[in-house]
Formats: sequence, C-alpha cells, structure tokens
Amino acid sequence: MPRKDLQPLQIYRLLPRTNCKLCGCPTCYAFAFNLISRSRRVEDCPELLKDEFGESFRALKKMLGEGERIAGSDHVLDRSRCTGCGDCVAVCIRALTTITKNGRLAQRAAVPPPLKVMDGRLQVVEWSSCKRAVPGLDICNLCAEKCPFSALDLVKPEEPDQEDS
Amino acid sequence: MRSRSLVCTGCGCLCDDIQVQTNDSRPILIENACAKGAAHIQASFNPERRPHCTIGGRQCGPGEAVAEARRLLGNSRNPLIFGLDSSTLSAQSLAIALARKLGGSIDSAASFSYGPLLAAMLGGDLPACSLAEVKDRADLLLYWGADPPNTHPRHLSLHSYYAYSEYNPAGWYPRVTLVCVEVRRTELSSMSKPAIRIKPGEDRAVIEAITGEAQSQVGAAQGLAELIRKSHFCVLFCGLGLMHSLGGDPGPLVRMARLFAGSTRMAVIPMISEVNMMGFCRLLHQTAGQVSSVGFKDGTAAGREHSFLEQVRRRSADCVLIVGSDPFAALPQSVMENLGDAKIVCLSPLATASTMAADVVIPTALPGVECGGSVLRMDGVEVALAELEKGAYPTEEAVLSRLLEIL
Ligand code: SF4
Ligand code: SF4
Ligand code: SF4
Ligand code: SF4
Repeated sequence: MPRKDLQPLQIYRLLPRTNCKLCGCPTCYAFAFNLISRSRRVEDCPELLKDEFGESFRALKKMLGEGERIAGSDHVLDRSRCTGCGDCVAVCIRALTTITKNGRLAQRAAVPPPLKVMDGRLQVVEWSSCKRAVPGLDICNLCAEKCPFSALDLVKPEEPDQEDS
Repeated sequence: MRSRSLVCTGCGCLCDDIQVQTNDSRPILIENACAKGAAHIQASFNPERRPHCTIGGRQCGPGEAVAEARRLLGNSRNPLIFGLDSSTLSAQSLAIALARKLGGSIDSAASFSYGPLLAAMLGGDLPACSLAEVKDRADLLLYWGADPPNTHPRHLSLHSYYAYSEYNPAGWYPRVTLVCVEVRRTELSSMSKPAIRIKPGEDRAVIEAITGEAQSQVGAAQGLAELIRKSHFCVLFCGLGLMHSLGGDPGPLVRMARLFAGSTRMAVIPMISEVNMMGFCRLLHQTAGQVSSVGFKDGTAAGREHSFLEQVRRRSADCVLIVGSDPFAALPQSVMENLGDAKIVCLSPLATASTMAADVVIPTALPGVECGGSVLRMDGVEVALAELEKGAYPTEEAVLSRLLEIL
C-alpha cells in the first residue's frame, strides 16, 4: 500500500517559509513539490537542520518516509523495507509476457518488463515500458498498491515552474 | 563476465529463475533473487562468513580434521547425527549409511517441526500436490499459521497467488481466493480476503468445529468451512504456527481433508523453510519407515528416544555430528547446555553458532552455489541445483564418504 497522497500545502506549512533559496529552489513552496517528488531530501534545506525546526524536521521525515526516487522513474523505494519479494514485478500488467483472457492467450505484451529485482531490491529497468511514462496513462499505481511492505510509492515528477504561494 | 542460471538455496522456495553475472568468479549482479537469496549467494563469497577448519579451536588441514572426526565418532558409544535438512539427497543417503555403520541415531529438525505432517503425507493420509498444479488449478489458497512474505519472500510471486499462468493475471481479476488464518496481523493477512484472526492455540478448536467434532462453535470456523466447500481445489499451506499449535499432531488436518474429500479437492503443502527437509524425511521413510528420529543400534528402530531433543535432554549422546544445520542458534540455550560433555563435530558451509560450539569443524561447499546436487522442494518435486563456482571446500558428500570409508 502506498502512503496516502501528500499535499504540497501540508508540507509547506512545516517549512521555514522564508524563501531564502539556500536549497536551490526559488521558494519554499517549490521545495515542498520537490520533497513530494523526492527530487530533494529534507536535509537539503539548511534552515530545517536548526534546532528551532527540529519538530518540523522530524514530522517531515515521518511523512515522507525513507523512500528514495529510483533515477529516471516515478518510483520511490524504501530500500530498507524492500525484501525483493517481486510481488510488484508480478502484478505489473506491463511485465506480463503473456496476457490471457479466460484461460487463453489473448495478447503478448509487446514491451520489455519495466520492473525487475536486482541484487535483492526492486529496480526500474525499462522506464519507457511503464504505463506512467505514457502521457494519459500515468495513473497506474498497481505495483505500489500491492507491495506487502509499503516499500514502494509512486510520485508525480511535476514541479511548479513559477513562484507560487 | 559470465552469466549463469542458478537455483537459490536461500529458503524452501528454491527459486529456479535466478541469473547471476560473475566477474573473476565473484558475483557482481544477482537478478530475480530476493534480498534473502541475494545475501545467501553473496555469503559464500565472503570469507568472514565461512568457518575455518579447526580441531578444538586450533586451525588445521581438512585431512587432519576428518581423521579427528573419525576418532571421536569411532570411540563414541552413542553417536548421533543431526541436521541434513539443507543437504543434497546424496549427502543425506551417505549420512544414513554412516549412522547405520556406527550403530548410532540420526535425526533432523523435522522431529520438532514438520515431521508428523510429512509422515501423514508420505503415509498417504494427507493428499499432496505440486506447486505447478497450484498455480494453474487451485482456486482457494489457504495459508494457516504461515507468513510467507517474511519467511519465503517469493512464495506468492513465483509459486502461488501472483503466479497463475492459465488464469487472468492475478493482480487484475483474481479468480483465486487468498485466505489466511493467523493469530496476529501480518503482511499476508493484509493481502488476504478474508483474513481470519484466531486466538493463540485455538487452531485445533477451529478445525474440530469445522469437522463437527467439537461441541461448541468457534466463530471463524463456519465461514472457513463454507469457503472450502464452495471451492473446487483448496491448497492448505501449513505453517509452523499451525504445527506447533497442534502439538505436532496432524490428526485434525487428516479428518478435515477427509470431510471435504467428496466436494473439494484438498491438498496440503508444508511451508518448509529448509532446502531439503522433504528429501531427508522421504529417504528416512524409505529406509526405516519413519521420517525422523531413527536409531540403528540393534537393527532399525524409531521413536522419541532417538530424537535429537530427547537425547540432548537426557544427555545420552556422547558424540554429535551436525551436518549443515545450526541447532545452537535454533534451540534454546538451556537445552543445548546439556551437550556440555559431548563431543561435537560440525560440517557446515557457513560460520554459525554451532561451528563456534563444535570441537571439530569441517567447512564444506555451499549446495546450490559451490556444488550441485538434487533436493526435494516443499511440494516433493525434485529440483536439480546448479553450481556457480567451485569453491575451495570439499562437498558434504566427499567428507561423509571419506568418513564412511575410514570408519
Ligand atoms: S532552504 Fe529552506 S527555507 Fe530556504 S527556500 Fe529552501 S525550503 Fe525555504
Ligand atoms: S517494492 Fe515491495 S513488492 Fe516490490 S520487491 Fe520490494 S518489497 Fe516486494
Ligand atoms: S506503475 Fe503500473 S505499469 Fe508502471 S511499473 Fe507500476 S504497475 Fe507497472
Ligand atoms: S524466496 Fe527463497 S529461494 Fe527464492 S530467492 Fe528468496 S531466499 Fe532464494
């Protein structure tokens, strides 16, 4: 099961909200988007490391978990939780070599499987095969939903371009 | 760089789709194996995980250690051989021959886990089926007292719920019902529908309520009975939780299987964690008519007095040969303390609590990584192991046949 969807505003409220730009983002709000897409880590905001923000820091860590973005994909994996069980690989509709209907072969998957377990942890090996790489199909989250250890999350990579608050 | 196919010997699943790329005879990429399996394969290449060949803690050559093992076993009045549930079939038959020659006893961890269940299965009282049949035909997967996501990580994705080839992909239109009976919340129970929660120790009462033997009704029983009755092919994956709760008595399960025999095909698969417990039980059953705890002192006898636990408790064994097993880690210290005076010879591929406690340690090749061989999977299907790289260590077969030769 993926963690329940995180809202940027929810994250933003816990940030220092000074727009100091030390994290490399134009605003704290933009940083909030970056945190959700896991393209930046909580530690990247130097303000948050100060004692006065200790509580926010811990709350953010808890909300975001230990997951790290698998480069070049929407998949966020908590490597310490992933057991490499392969359930996500097995349920991915794109990974099936054959798609059957009523016990008969209906269609062969035309694409190489997007996911694979390597060295005991999940890897995204063929991002272009994943439904989420296709515009309009990017709502699939079957793999994350079926992970028995809640190790997998899927995030939208979008970030706000302009200043916003 | 080479790529090799391997059967993982990290747990009882024996996943046969592992690909390993090696460079300079070291694995650099392990594909498809779970974290447990990948760690298991890597362990054999980590010198710190391997034991040294020792006599009384002093390092020595394998020839010397085998000679010392021979001396200890030869001088023993009550030798006992224990373990073997991770050994290949040929090593197991050699160990049985050795026990016979020594006039000693032989036992495995089956005597305090799945032994009685396997005896019922081998005796034909409980129906079995293969995992290949499960994923094409079974429509009710009933896990009882088992938690495969933690004990057998790829069991569901490779052998059961997510592995159906004939059906529609299970992730989409599951026509198969996954049920678990458990005393606590587990990863499996959150996937199961329904997940039946029972009180600890209530297993027997639930089964007896299903079979109508019990006077009182147990809440969970009716729904479960209904589910089984409605299914065509129900596979009961029997975990250690159920075995311990039944006190090792498979009787209630036998009666339950008989009850449904008319309407539902019911088969049992024990969730064995060891690589080849099934094989050892079958071999012993063929040789001695019993699946565990066999003694060869005067003819062939089997019974509680030949079991490892009983002999350790009564301090009757004076020399124990442990083969590929780690009872010092698996059993409580209060039990193992009784072995204080006995001589311990340990054949083991990895450094364990047992190799630390042993008087003589002979390191052996890790089956499935450093040597091949055959084993029986939890469903009784024979699986041929592959060899990745021949290591520096002799196989268990080589050491056991040498002992057999010189004794
Ligand atoms: S470093 Fe912290 S406070 Fe500064 S803009 Fe980034 S998120 Fe805001
Ligand atoms: S991400 Fe989850 S489902 Fe996928 S291999 Fe890891 S633990 Fe299993
Ligand atoms: S998001 Fe969908 S298509 Fe992409 S890997 Fe997961 S299950 Fe497969
Ligand atoms: S499930 Fe067991 S046999 Fe399969 S890869 Fe994992 S440890 Fe190895």
